[in-house]
Amino acid sequence: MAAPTNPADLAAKASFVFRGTVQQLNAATLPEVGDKSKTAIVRVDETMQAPQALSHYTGQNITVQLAAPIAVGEQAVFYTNAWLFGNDGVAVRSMGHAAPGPETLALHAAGSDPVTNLENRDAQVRFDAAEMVISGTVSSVRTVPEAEPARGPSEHDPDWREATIEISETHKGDSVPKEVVVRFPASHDRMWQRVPKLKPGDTGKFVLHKPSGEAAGFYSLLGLEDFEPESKPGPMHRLVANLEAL
Amino acid sequence: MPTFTVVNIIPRSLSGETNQDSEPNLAVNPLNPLQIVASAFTPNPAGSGDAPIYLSTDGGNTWLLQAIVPSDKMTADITIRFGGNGNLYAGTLRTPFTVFDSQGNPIPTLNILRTGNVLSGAAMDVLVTRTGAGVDQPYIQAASVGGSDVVFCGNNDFNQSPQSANMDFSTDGANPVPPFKTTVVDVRAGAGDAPSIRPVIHEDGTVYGAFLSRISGTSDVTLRYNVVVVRDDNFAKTGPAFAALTDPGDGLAGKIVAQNRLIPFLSEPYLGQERIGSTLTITVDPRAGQSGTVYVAWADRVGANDYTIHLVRSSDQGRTWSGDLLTITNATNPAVAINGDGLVAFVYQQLTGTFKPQKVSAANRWETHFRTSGDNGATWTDQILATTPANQPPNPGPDGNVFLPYLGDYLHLMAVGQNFYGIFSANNTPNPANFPAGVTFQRNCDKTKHVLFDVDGKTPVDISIDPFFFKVTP
Repeated sequence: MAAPTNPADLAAKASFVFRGTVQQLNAATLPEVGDKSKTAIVRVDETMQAPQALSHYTGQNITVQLAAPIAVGEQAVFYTNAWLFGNDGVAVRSMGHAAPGPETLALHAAGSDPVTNLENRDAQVRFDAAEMVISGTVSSVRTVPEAEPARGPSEHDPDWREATIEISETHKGDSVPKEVVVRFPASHDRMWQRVPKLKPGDTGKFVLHKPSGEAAGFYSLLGLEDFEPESKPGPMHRLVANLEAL
Repeated sequence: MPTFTVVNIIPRSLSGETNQDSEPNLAVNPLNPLQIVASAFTPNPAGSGDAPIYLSTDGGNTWLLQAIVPSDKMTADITIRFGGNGNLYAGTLRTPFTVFDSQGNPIPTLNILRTGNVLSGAAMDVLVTRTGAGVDQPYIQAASVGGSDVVFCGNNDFNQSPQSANMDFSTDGANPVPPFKTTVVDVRAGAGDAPSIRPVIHEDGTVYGAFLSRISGTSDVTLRYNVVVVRDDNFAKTGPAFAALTDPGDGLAGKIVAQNRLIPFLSEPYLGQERIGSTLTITVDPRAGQSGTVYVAWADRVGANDYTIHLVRSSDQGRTWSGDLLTITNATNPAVAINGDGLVAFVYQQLTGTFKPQKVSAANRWETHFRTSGDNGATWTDQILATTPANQPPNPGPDGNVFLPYLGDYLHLMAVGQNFYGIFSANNTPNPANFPAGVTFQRNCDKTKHVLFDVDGKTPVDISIDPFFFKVTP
């Protein structure tokens, strides 16, 4: 087996992590894969970290584009990302693989839900990238005419709104202010529709960014996961709870 | 009798998806028409990684999805076209946005991409990255000419003040490091062009461009535009680019095909659940010696609250234009193509049932029409490819996961040889009655009970918007 890259580093970059056994080299489950010189058919023995779309392949054969040589019958933990979704299954690109052992198993508790594992990893990435993470409640929302781009219309214009959020707890960032101003797009254009449309009374965890720089007098919501309502606690709630338990 | 093939291109392994796969585009490899690529607002199913495109290697009968477009999960806009030697080009707006203005507005980045082998699995190479003050709605065309590739990418350039119709182009696209130029094509002092800038290439060196040049209006409902066509006769290699066609009214480059048209720009569910505001298409007769024949279609408002498509024709390189060959009320997404026999095909999506602005009901349907004319637009056949509920899925959906454009700001139609190839997005209810020309679903479904199923073949899946490929052999 080729020397693996650090499993922790690989797991941080791979969305689909599984323990599998190589069934056949230079082969593929998908007929569309032309060059099979670096592909193998691998049986998924245990799914450790996965997006929903790849979470149900345990016990099935899939195609893996290998990053390093491996032998038929060999079992390894594969760190992969999606490549092909076809009518005859899926193919993934491996960033590396490692023999199952304490170093690989420590990253994912046995029997844990692979989708939750990926959500938790991504929540940590969002938390680390944010300028501020708070718990709070939206007290008011206003239009922001001064934020309109100084040009003609584009279908992607965000149509900004500004929410004032009363902070109940600061999990990351400056803990001094009692409220913050947060811009969010009212537009339902494809670029913005997933970004939460806040309204007064919304309560939950807010993951805040300053895309225009520190000098800007407002934070922004830029993605679906930047607001996690109290009524629907998810990975950011779990992460904050874990941090506070430390 | 023509034969029709209509295929829902969502692969079986993604049977559980409920994405809004709108705004489709299509590229057929002219040297190997079995190889076809499609795009849409389809996210990477893994929730991370490169944006995906659809690929067929059997002429469009079966499809898979592969993530090879360098953009985070999906693009903000994408169009695709084949050149020669299997070169696939894409014009994209790349995500995530990394540049913002002082008000938090993102500045979109144009990428022009290429891969020499769509089957390799390797990410497409980035040929052009252009941001500045921003670029919008790249629309790419490519042609194999004299052993290299001619590539023109129309876009709305925010680097001009006001924003202007622009072309990024190369006459040596197959070069390992192709030289690209950029040129503004709207020379008039207007008030800013609409997002749709559409090029079309003829192998004899003729390149047309069409755009909507704003002339007045103070709010989104009062915007007025001229429909303008520009032309270059030598792939924009020499002299001032796109200056070959002037308007007799002002002597400036760009023939004003239609003047002072009211085109509201409504970024809200208006027509059914679709937005309106920048609808435009152009094509040229691909046959040798026929580059003077060109068709343009756009949409504007002719009454109180309609959105009406007009299709017109020029047979003298754009100097003079016909009146409406077709006028289609309450419709969008026109696309026109001419095949190797000179047969003209026209596709559009029309809202039927009683039209009420910003309202939709179970009586409204989106009809996707495929029409042909063999007599220069005097008479037309009419085949409905799809007639689907316009009120499902609701926009915005209960979880906010339905967006604009509902079906797309464009679709695509093209010809290779005799055959027409196209793609449209529509409600994916697996009801054969919704697809009068026939339909094949790859994803799991029961076409008798009109139900979609997840990958397990048992769990019902909600209706959503899917891309549908079609091929017509006249």
